[in-house]
Amino acid sequence: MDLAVDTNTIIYILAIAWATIFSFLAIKTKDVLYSAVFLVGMYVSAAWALIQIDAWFLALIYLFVNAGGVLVLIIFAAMLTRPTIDIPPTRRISLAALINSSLVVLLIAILLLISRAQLTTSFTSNFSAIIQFLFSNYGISLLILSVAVLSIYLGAIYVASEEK
Amino acid sequence: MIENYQDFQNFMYYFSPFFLLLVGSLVVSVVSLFKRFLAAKILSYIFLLFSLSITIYFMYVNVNLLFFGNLVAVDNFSLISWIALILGAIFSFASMGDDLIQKETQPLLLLSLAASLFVVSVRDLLLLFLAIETSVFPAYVLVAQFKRDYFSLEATVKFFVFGVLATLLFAYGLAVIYGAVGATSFSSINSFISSSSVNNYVNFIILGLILLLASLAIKSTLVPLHVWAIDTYQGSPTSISVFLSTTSKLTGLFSVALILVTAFRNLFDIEPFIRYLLAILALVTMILPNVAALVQKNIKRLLAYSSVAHAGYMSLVFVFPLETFPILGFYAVTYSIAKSVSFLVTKRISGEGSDSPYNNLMSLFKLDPLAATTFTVALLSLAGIPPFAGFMAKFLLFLNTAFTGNLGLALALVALIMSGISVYYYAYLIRLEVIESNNENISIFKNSEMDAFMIISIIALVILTFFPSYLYYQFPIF
Amino acid sequence: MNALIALIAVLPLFLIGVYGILARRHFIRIIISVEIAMSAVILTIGTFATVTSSFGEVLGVLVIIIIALEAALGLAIAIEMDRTYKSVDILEIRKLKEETQ
Repeated sequence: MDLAVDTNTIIYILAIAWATIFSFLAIKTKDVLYSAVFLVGMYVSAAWALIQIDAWFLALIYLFVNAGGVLVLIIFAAMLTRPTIDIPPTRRISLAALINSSLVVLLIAILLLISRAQLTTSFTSNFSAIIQFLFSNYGISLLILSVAVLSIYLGAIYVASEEK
Repeated sequence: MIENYQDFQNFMYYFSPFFLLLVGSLVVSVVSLFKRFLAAKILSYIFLLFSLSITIYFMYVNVNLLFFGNLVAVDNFSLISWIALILGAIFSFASMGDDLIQKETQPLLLLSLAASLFVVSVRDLLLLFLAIETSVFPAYVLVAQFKRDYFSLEATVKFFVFGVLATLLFAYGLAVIYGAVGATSFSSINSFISSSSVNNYVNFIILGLILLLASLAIKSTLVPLHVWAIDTYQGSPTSISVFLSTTSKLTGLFSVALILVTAFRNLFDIEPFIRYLLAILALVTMILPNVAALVQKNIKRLLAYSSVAHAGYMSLVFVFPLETFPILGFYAVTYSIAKSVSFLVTKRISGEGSDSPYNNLMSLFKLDPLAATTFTVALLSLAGIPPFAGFMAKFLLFLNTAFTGNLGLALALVALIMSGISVYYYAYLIRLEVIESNNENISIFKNSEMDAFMIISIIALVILTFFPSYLYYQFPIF
Repeated sequence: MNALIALIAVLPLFLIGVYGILARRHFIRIIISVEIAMSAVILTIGTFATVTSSFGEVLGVLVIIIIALEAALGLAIAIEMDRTYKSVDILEIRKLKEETQ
């Protein structure tokens, strides 16, 4: 396996490192509102990493949907529910969770590392190609997506509404 | 979007059960807005029965069609799966009481069912991901709606957390398989695995398949990822448990079977250890819930464990997909009827709540002979006792598994032994029904709608025994 | 640039996300963990998209939408939990459940 490191790679890893630090802080802080703030940092650095590998379309949508939509929802929900302070998990639970999640990630890492595939990033976002995919045969995905959005509208409004 | 108008027209025609349910959910939600709940329920029945009869008609004329560049298909596999899925939903409606009808239950259930129908007819991993997520979104709400006790809340939270984990794992597996193959349709994955270029990417394919299996194992409650199911089936309203334990679970099982017999059918030759992995999964899923069910004290909890055990029997199909796949259709339909009707009787004797102690069953034969008979028939069918359809399904499945070789023989033996153990706890429940007790505080919700469905299910469970071949799967086209 | 480095580099992010889902007690914190793990998945999809074709970006967009919908529903459930049961702490709910038994 050839692990040649160029400037692009270093910047990418830097961005991912920032995202990891922010996400660690978002998990570790006591107050959920603060962790929402750290989530912004995570979103921005992850989008930076996506732009670094030339997937700017994905980066854009990612920022719009998450930093624009989901984050606002999270902050609202965190302010509506009291208390916002999270009690840290007990040692036993956190150890079990750590072992489980590490097993998943280790499996992924090992199988990725021992593969003989040569993957080099070489592609830039191409708007017309994306549109071509989305509006040809895969247009059927918009049908099923509309059902999903409909069920979320019905469901979320129903769940969050007051019981009479 | 539409390159070929004729194609889209055909799609609308052959997907009419799906579109009927979508239209039905909109109509029903509008009708419930005007507080005409009974009319809404009748309308839901009409839409469900219409889509069921159209599905049976399509099966009769033997439709085999691919749409949208082989992304979506209507064939024998999807049609028989549709029958099993719609049956679960109909029984769920039948067991729904007035308190649930007056909520947003009906449109959401129809939406979830529509998405489930879509799941079994996609031939593409991306669409499979979207359809599975769409089918599970309304299910979260269905579980969450009964703001009643802490069991219900815990059911919601567990279901949601595990569902989210399943989504993430599926998305990761999808990404990895896409990275290796460069496309997500089943035909391209299959031809990639058959070609020689797979050698450099075989780790990617295996990783992707393991992640997909882990995700779908959560949906189809395979051990060790079944822990959410027990609490969720117990904590959710009983009529929603009917839906979760049949339609929702079968959606997961069908999609595992689908990807194994289409996209990854040649992977078993390249990497035999996938078969052993699936065998271990099936083995654990057969043994653990059957043992755990022996010590239960709650009917809903026992039925939940038994449904996990049945997922184990059905996952025998995953170990030898090419040999035993045809039986799965028949097994799923009989399971769907027997399991949903047993939950329906539970609803009848102990209501929607999570509290359904064994004592409620006492002297049921005297108080409500029809319910007692139905419960007995359903349990005997689940246990696999001869005159009923469950016996034929188990017999055919185990026999076909046993004839595949040494591994199959061992698995079939374990399945047989576990089936024998399961007879013990089913028989215990049946015995409770005849024990006389002066337990006066049992209130039985009798209504004629339930009576009709119970009689139909008894007849179906007897008749289906003699006609298994009508419900055999043919291999899905892709 | 070698895509394998990119794939390995996002794994800590995925680890933190899955750990958060499994270990945290505050329901909104669980949804934040989902967002973190989702970011790792999106970065993986983006990497593969730049290796193969634009289709990967379509895939990424659809995954983003699905998980955003899931988060919206989760937050609705959190608000409902807070209103009906006066707590969003999962372990506390478990404790209360055992008391009612």
